[in-house]
Amino acid sequence: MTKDQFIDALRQGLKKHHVTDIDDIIEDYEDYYREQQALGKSEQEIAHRLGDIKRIIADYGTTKTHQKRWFDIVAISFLALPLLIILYGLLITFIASSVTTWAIAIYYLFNVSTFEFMPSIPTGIHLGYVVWMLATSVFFLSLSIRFVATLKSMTQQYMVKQTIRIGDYHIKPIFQKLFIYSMIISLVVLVIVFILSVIHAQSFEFWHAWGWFQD
Amino acid sequence: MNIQYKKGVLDLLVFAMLNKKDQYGYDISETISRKIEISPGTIYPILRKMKDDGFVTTYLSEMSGGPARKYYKLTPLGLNHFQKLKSEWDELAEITHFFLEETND
Repeated sequence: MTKDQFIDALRQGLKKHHVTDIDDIIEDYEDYYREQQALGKSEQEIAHRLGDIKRIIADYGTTKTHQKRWFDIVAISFLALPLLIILYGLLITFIASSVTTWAIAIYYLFNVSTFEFMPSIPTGIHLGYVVWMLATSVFFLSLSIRFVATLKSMTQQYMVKQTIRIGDYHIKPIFQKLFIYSMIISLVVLVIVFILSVIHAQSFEFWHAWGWFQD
Repeated sequence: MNIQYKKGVLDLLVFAMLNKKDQYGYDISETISRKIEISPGTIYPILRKMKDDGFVTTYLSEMSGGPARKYYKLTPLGLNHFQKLKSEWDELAEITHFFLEETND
């Protein structure tokens, strides 16, 4: 099979399979022929090395992409952009929560004077709240990291393929562990702190006993 | 080598090459088809699928004196996909090793 025969057969076969952008594919094979011919190979040898042309065509047939209609693109744009903006807003909330809980923990730990509007907690028990706030802070931090990875992937998918989906993303295992453990610790400490507070205040509504929310 | 083994790792090999630097399409197909004895015609459809998936982009690079060559470049989306494929491969390799060691005793 000569080069022209090969390219022709490829072009016809791809057309039959409704493969799009055939010229782009042909370019690769022309490069291949050119490089191999420069090495002194004959057109027949090259065609033989490239392999069965029917199989090559079939390989492209299975990779045929779904052509988007204009309606799909408009509909997705209407949905995807607001969705992405909302999700980025959510991310800012997560990061802010992480910073806030961290600041509260520092306040209760060192009694920083700038946060005096914060409700008072009896000494001793306040350490429980510090641990709870720190765990929550770490949780929000790892949640943010996860969320950034997801969002990045969604944004890329939208930019490249105009679809709304979460593609592949990669998070270091340490962040996965951090996410799960901080969530568990935060919840467990919350329960413990609540029980301790109730015992200390001798009331289920310990916040009244400690004079919270009173002007 | 078992054809199923070859087919399973082709994507990963292409990704690994592109992860190092942008590659001339011909170099990808030649390098891989030499190492694992597969027809170069098998590699090009894979490159095309990666392009359709948004994992790679192509550009033409003018060589001094010669005709323009088609180069493949990994996109950020492709890099993410490569990292995922690679960690899956590492996991599989580890499991396979475990069983091979076990049965050696």
